[in-house]
Parts: sequence; C-alpha cells; structure tokens
Amino acid sequence: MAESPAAGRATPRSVRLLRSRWARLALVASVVGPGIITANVDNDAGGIATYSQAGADFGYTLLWTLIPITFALILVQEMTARMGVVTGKGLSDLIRERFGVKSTFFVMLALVIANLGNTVAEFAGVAGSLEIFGVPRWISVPAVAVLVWALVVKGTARIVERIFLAACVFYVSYIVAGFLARPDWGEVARGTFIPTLAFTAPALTMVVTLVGTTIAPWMQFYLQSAIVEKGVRVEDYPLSRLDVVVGCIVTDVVAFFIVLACGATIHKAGGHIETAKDAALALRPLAGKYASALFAFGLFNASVFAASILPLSTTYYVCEALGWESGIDKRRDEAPQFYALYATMIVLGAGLVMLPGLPLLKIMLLSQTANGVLLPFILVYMLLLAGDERLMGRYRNGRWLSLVAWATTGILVVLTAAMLWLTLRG
Amino acid sequence: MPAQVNENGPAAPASQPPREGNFLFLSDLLGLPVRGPAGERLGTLVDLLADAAGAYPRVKAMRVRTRRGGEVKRVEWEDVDGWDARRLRLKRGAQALRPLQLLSSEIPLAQDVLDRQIVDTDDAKVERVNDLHLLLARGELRVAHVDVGFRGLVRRMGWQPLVDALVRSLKPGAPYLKTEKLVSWKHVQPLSAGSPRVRLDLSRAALSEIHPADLAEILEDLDRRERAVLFRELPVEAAADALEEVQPELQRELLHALEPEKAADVLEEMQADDAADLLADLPGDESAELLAEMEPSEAREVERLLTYDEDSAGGMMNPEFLRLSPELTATQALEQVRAQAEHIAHLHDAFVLGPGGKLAGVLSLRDIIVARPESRVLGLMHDHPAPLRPDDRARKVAELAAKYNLFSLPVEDEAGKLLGVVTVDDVLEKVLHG
Repeated sequence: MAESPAAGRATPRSVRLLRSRWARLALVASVVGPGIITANVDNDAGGIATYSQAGADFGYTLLWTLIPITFALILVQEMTARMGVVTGKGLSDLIRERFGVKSTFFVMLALVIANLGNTVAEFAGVAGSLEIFGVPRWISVPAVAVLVWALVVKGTARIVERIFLAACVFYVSYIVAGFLARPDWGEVARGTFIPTLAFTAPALTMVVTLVGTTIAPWMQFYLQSAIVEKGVRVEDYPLSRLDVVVGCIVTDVVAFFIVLACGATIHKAGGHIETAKDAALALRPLAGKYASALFAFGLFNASVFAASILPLSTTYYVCEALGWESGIDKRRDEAPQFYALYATMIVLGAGLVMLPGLPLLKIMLLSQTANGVLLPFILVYMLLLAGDERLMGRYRNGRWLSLVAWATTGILVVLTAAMLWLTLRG
Repeated sequence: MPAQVNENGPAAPASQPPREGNFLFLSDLLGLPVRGPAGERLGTLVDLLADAAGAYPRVKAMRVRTRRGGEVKRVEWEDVDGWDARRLRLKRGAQALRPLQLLSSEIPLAQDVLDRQIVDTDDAKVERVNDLHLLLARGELRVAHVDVGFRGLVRRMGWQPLVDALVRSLKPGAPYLKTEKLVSWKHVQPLSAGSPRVRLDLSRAALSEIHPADLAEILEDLDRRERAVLFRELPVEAAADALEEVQPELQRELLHALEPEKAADVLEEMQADDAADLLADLPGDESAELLAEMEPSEAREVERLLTYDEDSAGGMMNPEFLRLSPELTATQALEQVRAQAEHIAHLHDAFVLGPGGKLAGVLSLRDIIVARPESRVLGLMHDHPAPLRPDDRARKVAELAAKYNLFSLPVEDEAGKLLGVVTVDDVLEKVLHG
C-alpha cells in the first residue's frame, strides 16, 4: 500500500491520461486558427464595401469572378503557410535575411502606409455601423480604440485567438442577410457559373478591385507569423493546409452572400452606394430592418476584428524585420519603437475618422494604391523564397506549382497595374 | 555594450587604399567591382569567408560573382592587392578565380551573419545584425564587432551622409552621431544552421554563464531554426535550467530538437516535478520512449509524479528534498546539508523523517546554523503548520503558504508518509499562469 502512492487515487491518473488523449485530439485546435482568422479579417470594412458595390452596381453578373479569385487566394495562402511551417520564420524576417535591408525597408514602408489606410477604414466601419444603431462616432470610435488596445495589451495570445475565432462565427450574419434579401436563385446560379464580362471601364475596375481586396499583401505577413507563433510542426502541415483552404473558401462564401444581398436589392432598385454603411442603410427599405441590422452588425464585427489585428501585426513585422525589440511582454523603455509605432497606428487610425471634413475616401484610396504597389513585390519575393531549395528543402515549390504560381502572379500583377492605372487616372 | 567609436574612424572608405589599423564595414566592401592588375573587370564581391577559429575571425577568402547573375567563384585573400571606394584590385587576373569551396571552419559573413539573428552573450539578448565591423591590421582583415544599431541600418540604406548631415544641422551633439551600437565578436554567438562547430565550442562557456531566465527569454526571442541550433549546443545542465524556465509550448519544441539520449539526460537534470509536467504534455509514446532512456531511478521518480494531476500538490511536489534524522547533532546536520546539496534545488528547509518515512518535524537551515553545535535535531525541529495531501489544489497550497509565510510545504499520504515537498516558486507559477 505504502509502496504505491497512486493506490486509491485512480481518478487523477485517469484524468491525466484522458487529458493527454484530449491533447492529441486537440491537435486540431493547436493547428487550426491562423488560416480561418486571416481569411475572415480579409472581409474587413474595405472588403465589405467592395463586395457591396459589386452587388449594387453589377447585380449577380460578377459572382463568377469569386471562383477564380478563390483559387488564386488558396494558391498564394498555401505557399505562405508552407513557408511558415517549414522555416519557422515570419515573411518579413525571410525577406530581410534573403534580400537585405533596402528591400525590407521599402516593403515595410509600403506596408505601414497601406495598413494605416486600412486601419482608418476599419475605424470608419466602426463609426458607420454604430451610427446605424444610433451611437455617435465620438463615442464609438474612442471606445473601440481603447478596447483594441486593452484586448491586445491585457489579453493573452490564446484568449485573443479564441475571441477572434468566435468573431468569425458572426460572419454568418451576412449569409442570413443574403437569404433575407430573397434573391432569384436561378439568376444567381447563372451569374455564378456562366462567366460574362462587359468590357467597360467600370466593370473592369470592379473586377480588379475585387481581386485587390481579396488578395492583400498584409495577409501573407499575418498568416505566416500566426502559423509560426502557433509552432505548427512540419508533420502537422496537412492540417494547417486544410485550415488555410477552408478559410479561403469561407471568406469567399461570405463575399458571395454580400454581393448577393446587395445584388438582390440595391441593384434591382437601381441604387448606388459608396461605403458599407450606405449598403446597410439602403437594405432597410428593400430587405427589411433585420437584414439591414444584420448587415450593420456584421460590419461592426468585421471592423473591430480587423482593427485589433492590423495595427499590432504591422508593428510586429516592422520591428522584427528591422531588428528592434518587439512584443507586448516588453516594457515601454525596452521596446520604444514597438510601442511608438503601435500607438501611432491606433491614434492616427481612430483620430483621422474623428476629424471632421477629412477626405476619408482619399485616404482609403491611397492605402489601396500602396497595397497595389506592394502586392507584386511581395508575390515575387514569396515565389523566390518558396522555390529556394536551401531554405525550403523538399518542401519548395515543385515545377508545376511553380509554373502555375508564376502565371497566377503574372495575372495578378497585370490586374493590379491595371487597377493602379485606372484609379490614378479616375 | 554599445561601444564608443571615433566619429571619423569607421565608414568613409578613403580614396586611397585603407591604412593599417583602420576599421571598415562589411557593407563598404560588398558589391565592389573586382578588377585584375590591368584594371579588367572580373566580377563583383558578394561575400567574405572568415576563419571562425580565434576570438576575432580572419578573412581568408571571398566570393566573387563573375557576371551579373552569373557564376560565383572563390578568391583567396592573399590575391587581394588593395581597394578603395570604387574597386577592389587583385594581384593576378582571371587565374585568381577558383571553384567555389567552403572550408568547414569558415563562416560566409554576408550569407550567415549579416541580417541574421545572433545572441549577444554579454548582454544576454537576441539582436539582428545590421553590419559587420572589420579591422585591418598587419595586412590581415578580421571581424571585430557586429553592428546592431540604428546607424548601421541607415548606412545599409546608403543614407548615412544625408541623415548624418541632417542630424548634425539639427542637433550637433546628438548621441546618434557618436554612438555605434557594436557588439564585440567575442560575445557574438552566430546561429545560422551551418555555423562551424569551432565557433560554438568557443562560446559555449559564455552561454552557460547566462542566467537561465535570460537564456529562456533568448530562446523565446529566436526563430525556430536558430533556437534549435542554440539549444543543441547548450551543456546539459544549462539546457535543463533553461528548459525549466521557458513556456510549456516551447518546452516541447525544444525537447524535440534533441536526440532522445540527450533529451533524457536533460530531463534527468531537471527538477523532477518540472520534468513530469513536461512529459505529461507529450504524446504517450514519446514520453514512454524518453522515460526508457532515462536512468531507472530518475525515471521511477518522474513516473510516480506523473500519476498526479499537474495542478495538485502531488503534481507540483519535488521528491528530492533535504532529509535529516532526529538524532543528529547540529554539526552533523550541517554536514548532511553539504552532502545532499548537490541534488537539491532549495535548501531553506530540512525535513526530519521518523520511522516508516513519516514526517516527524521540520527545521530551517537558519535553525541549524544558529544552534549550538552539539544540540540535537530532535530538539530544534517543530511541527509543520500545514502539511499537504497530494490532491490539494494549487490555490489551496498558495493560500496556506501565504497564511503561514512558508517557503516549502511537505506532502504526505494518508499514512503520514512524506512523499515530497512543494516550494512556493512552483505554486506561484501555477497560480499566475494556470
């Protein structure tokens, strides 16, 4: 009896064994997350505005573009995820180590500008969505800015990730809103599976903008870092890839229903919109107050979600790439650049929305331009890195994948160049 | 430590060949056109290969890219005639270009050190290398420091003249102009996977002098590959100490980086309760494999701890503690302390065992030291105010420790047999980090 301390204490032992079995089942939880979160942040305020516009202006006719866009997104994101798992390094570190200081600096500069613009868009989304519910922006915007700061500084990574995963569920509100709009499903099917494109400047601009919104440079940095942070092992990569693929599909399904909702209502009524808030307001008389409220709620959720992720993640990549101390576990005097940059992103992002009379649309346009300029560079760097045998070993891009990836990159670069040309001209 | 460097010393490559005893930066040399004695263009300098042996590695050769995007060749340093800001001249022409080759003791500086993470063993920090500071003396070029400062970044951007002039006109006394953040190479631990062993051996001593908590932070700050390189090179004791300090997710990753035999050695060296926590988080077959590799006696101890829930007193307790018997005198007890100290992490309290391994009483090291040499342990010891049961929760343990101001608490089974001792550091960790 005295020999065995475990005697009579069978419960704790089985508890522990059970826990380790759970741990193996929970492998899923230890790998899944980054892909789905990244994909959903992609449907942020700017994304929702673009999809709403696509639906309002072109009805169901551009739905088919979401299919090739999904394939391109999966192609790019899979490569990013694979690099994260194999090298255990973030994309900004890899760029620094392979391409040196100059490339890194300009990439980071463009990333900061682009994401500052995105952050402004998110706070504008917060202001717009809550104004629909009667909350003035001078309350909503500072409150969300403080919330974002607190969530990141006070919360632990695991809790924050859970909150983010839960936030992903609320994107369902767009799918419900899509059904509430009572679309003509036959027309929807035609728009989805039969590609048609009017070769007019507005239609081409819309397609290019859809691509640009869906495949954004920051996603590659965020996804790769999130995967590294999770410590996904090479053996578990198939699960991680599944996470990424499912995430990409979910993103575009949500996008699909946003286009659908606006196509079935605003387009039919012949309306035009500029922002996502316009869309939510326009839905009210056409699809009822529930669809409108769901739309506004989805926008709020997406904006807060993205506002929590973008400024912080940008700060991380910049500091890591330039070799500055980073991390919310560091004191302010240990990591001065880190805190200064993070505070700047939040204060400017929230502050610009509060300033009356500021040309918000111009700022968002500027950020879209920065995104557009950045994307080709990021994609080319990624392809060079993912094809590098010394770095990736047997996980480098194979010949066929390389070919498809370079071709896709070529198309994306041409489309982005076209978008830049069109936006700068118009 | 950031070193003070003469403002005119580094950078600014002179237009005539550099003088003896001069400092220069790697970034000044990289990209220089390489020309033959007759001025014919042979290629571009892309890397320097330095011999890792010795405190300050000597540059032995360089890599030259022959045409744009073309083949890379090796040129021995002896073939270098001299250089200035615009070109590097060789003593002989195309015959100096040899096939690419890397000796096992050589570090390619641009490829494996520049822009990469290193550990500064003096400040116990992870840094990213912005530039390398080279010293030309007696015809030899050696690596003296790595530059981890902001000015190094500016120099790499090619903006140093501009930024310097700007700062000088705004604030002539700015610290930016006078301070280079340089780390002496003797404190630098490069971590590229191909680092020659000779370098790692050299700095191993420096690494094991870093406090385990700092070492844990360094491991957390490094990228995964660099982390594995560093961890594999740590001596077993340092590895065990660091492993106790890092976060649980990282513990698993680090243990995976080791061969099973070394992993088992590290586990043996860890405190048994920490080792048990770590093994409990591993998949069953992996922990069984590691337990089989461990010394049987150590493995048994850990296995016994594995049977308790990790958030209970049983899961937190350490089966190794200071044991005394009641009939010893204070002098003998002190000898016992010395004899047992090697295996025991905390010596604050001694536990007196009676017949059947039952806890008879406790006394502190202080009690033993201040007592008259001939007094007996039996007379010095007192009852412990709060003995624990193995299934007591961490919360309760913390409350008892706070209430009675205890550093360590004994854990007994139903029969009163002493199983192990929980110390407050373990309790704190459980209560704070769950």
